[in-house]
Amino acid sequence: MKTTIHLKLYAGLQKYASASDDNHPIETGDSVREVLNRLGVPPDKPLLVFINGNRSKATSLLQGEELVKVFPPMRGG
Amino acid sequence: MPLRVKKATCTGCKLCQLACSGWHERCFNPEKARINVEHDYNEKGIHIGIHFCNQCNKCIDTCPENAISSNGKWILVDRNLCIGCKTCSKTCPLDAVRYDSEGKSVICDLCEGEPQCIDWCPKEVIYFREKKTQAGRETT
Amino acid sequence: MNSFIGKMLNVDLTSGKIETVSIPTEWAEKYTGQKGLGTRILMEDLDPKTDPLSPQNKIVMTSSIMAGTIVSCSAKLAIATKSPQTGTITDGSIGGHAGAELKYAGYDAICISGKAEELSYLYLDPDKAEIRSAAELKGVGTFETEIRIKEMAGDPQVKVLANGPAGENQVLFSCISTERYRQLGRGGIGAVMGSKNLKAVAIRGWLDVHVPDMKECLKVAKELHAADKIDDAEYEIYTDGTPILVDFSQESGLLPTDNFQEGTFEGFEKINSASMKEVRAAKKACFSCAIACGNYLKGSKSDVEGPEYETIALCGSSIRNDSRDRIIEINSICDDVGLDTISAGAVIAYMMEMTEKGLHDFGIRFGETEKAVEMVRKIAFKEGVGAEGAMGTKKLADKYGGAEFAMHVKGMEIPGYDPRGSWAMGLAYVSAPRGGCHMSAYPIEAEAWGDLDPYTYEGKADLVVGLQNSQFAKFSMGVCDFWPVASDNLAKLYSVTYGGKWTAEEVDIIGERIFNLQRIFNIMAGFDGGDDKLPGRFHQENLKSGPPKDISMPEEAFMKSMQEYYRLRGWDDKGKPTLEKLKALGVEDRFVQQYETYLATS
Repeated sequence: MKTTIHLKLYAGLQKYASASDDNHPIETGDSVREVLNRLGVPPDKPLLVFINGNRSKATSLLQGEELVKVFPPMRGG
Repeated sequence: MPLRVKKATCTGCKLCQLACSGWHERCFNPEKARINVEHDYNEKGIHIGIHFCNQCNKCIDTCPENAISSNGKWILVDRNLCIGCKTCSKTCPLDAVRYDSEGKSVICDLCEGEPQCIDWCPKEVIYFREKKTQAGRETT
Repeated sequence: MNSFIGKMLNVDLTSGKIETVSIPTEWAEKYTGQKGLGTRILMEDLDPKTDPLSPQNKIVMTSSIMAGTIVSCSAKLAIATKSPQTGTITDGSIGGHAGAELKYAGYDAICISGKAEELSYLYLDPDKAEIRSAAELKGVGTFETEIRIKEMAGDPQVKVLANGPAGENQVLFSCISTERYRQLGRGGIGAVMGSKNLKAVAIRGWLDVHVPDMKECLKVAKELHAADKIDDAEYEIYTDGTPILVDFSQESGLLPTDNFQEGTFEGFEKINSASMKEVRAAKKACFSCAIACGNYLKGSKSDVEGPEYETIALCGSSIRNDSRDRIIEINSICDDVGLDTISAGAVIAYMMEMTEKGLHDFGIRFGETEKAVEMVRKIAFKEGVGAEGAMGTKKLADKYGGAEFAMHVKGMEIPGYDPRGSWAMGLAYVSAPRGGCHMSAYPIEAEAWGDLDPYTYEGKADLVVGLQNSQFAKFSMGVCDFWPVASDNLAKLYSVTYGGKWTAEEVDIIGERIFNLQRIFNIMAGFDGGDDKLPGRFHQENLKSGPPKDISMPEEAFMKSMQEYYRLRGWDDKGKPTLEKLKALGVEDRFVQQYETYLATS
């Protein structure tokens, strides 16, 4: 089923951001990883994922309407 | 075919100076590098200065020992003729002359075609400029 | 010839005697440079019970062994001393040029003891070293001090480490500046300099730095810079610098807010990296650094190179300051007067909470940012209520109460990561030798910002021990933290600059040895496991928002984890290294005996 999420990409991932990220189209059941793959993010890139303010995984499945924030791994202190 | 720089991109790391002295003088000493960078934060803000030979050839004209010449692509200093009088340094409008451990002048010779500074610069500040000829553009 | 010169400048400010002495090669082999060498030199004849503000304390400045070479991020200088803020050993590290310039001057280290009769500065170059008058610089900020020292020395190329009025006034968390954009000295290194009447150190060098095989060094350095992609145009530390961490911390619910009462801050978007970049005019690197973390910002009132994440957290969200301009202003003032921004912000936050709770009126409340700007100056000059602030949270809590929310460990205020959001950070804070410090280990990368469960102690003691061992080696050999170089690559870099063929295992043992040497200094200074504890707030209160919401971090579980930490370290259950452990690590007999004697007689 077609639906949308609010997607926010941070730091080095920002270059994959698109104008539609506030209402980013997905299919119900898409994983975060699948959504990012479609944007061109390398499939093996480690990701730090928060869904609706909770720590989640790139493999987490989306239903629609979630606020999804994705960070690249942090290097250096 | 002198070097060119995108000054605003320079971060002041001076890896170019370390690469230059390492390559030519076999030691690390920014004082002996043929390219020199200033990147200072003062009360007026960030001041950036990048000094290197732009092949104006004034040193060639003024060297009393005829130790300096050009091959059309870069400057050459004959170490056997150089007496370390520093006239070239005083003449140079860009403060681009330095000295080796014997006090003889060292001037950028573009590493004979493959500049180490370009290779080592982490931010792609330094590049080659295309040379214009009367007929049109000629890449170096 | 290699990048270790083997020379130290010994300066006695009392007698005025200056001499060049040899550094035993064995010290370089066992402790390398920077942190390790500084610790070794300090331990040579400093009684761990010395009063830190007495002439007997020493200031030891040590370069990275690789400083001066083309290895990226290597132009680091460490300064080690006994901290007047905590009473532990403390060492900090500074970038800019100073670490490399000291090598070009012909030295690996400077050791300063005694006290000058009048305000002075130390000048050194390859030909001479002199103690010169700095009387006219009394009370002058670090920015102007550097300009004037260069004029006085007659050389604009001189590299200056400048102490500010906060250090002259012996504020316990005062620090020094160099080139206006880099600072050093958590733990009050500025105060130690102030107690010695030392206003600045001016270094000028023009000698060569050598490596065993130049061709090999250039090749290996190039390969490893590329392997770790430190010049990557997309490396966050370059594109954004440390302010990028504001969004990470906010989302993970561990951004210090209202003195660590909360872990999320409503105004975070006004002070995150995106906001800072709006007023960024340039990037700036340290000497030899391919990364360039520095951000030069132009605020409406002040400009600054910064602010670092820690400053945004402790002088921003933690004092309920959502003004980018005010953070820039506070940062600029701190850099000029010489105050550690983490401790300054933390002290102000404590004062705010005490005032709001009616426990003691310091005259400042959360969100009163204009007063916070004034307070920073008052602290530096010990004026009015600033004289209280200058004591730091530990002494203030001893005097007025509120110990549960005096957010320090051993007297050093805690940096910008609430451990309730990343439990291993709490272990790191209490086990770091110099107090509440995030530099000895940074497990948050693996926990809240990585794959490990942040809300458990399972496996975390082991994680922190491993990180500390490799960090201590990295900060000794050594390169800047922002190059995430693994021990095997660090070994390769060390081999092509210092020489020999080093392995990752040897690198980590060096780190472990240095860590233990600092620990026994602290034990002999009077510390033990009883001091390895967090402020009560973290165990008694839960955060109310973000991922750590309502999750308790009980003291009992923490203490159990610390027992595991001691066991893994080969220490007894009071956190004291065993003699067997020290011997196994190759710590010199004389220190083992000194320590054994101390244990027997205390």
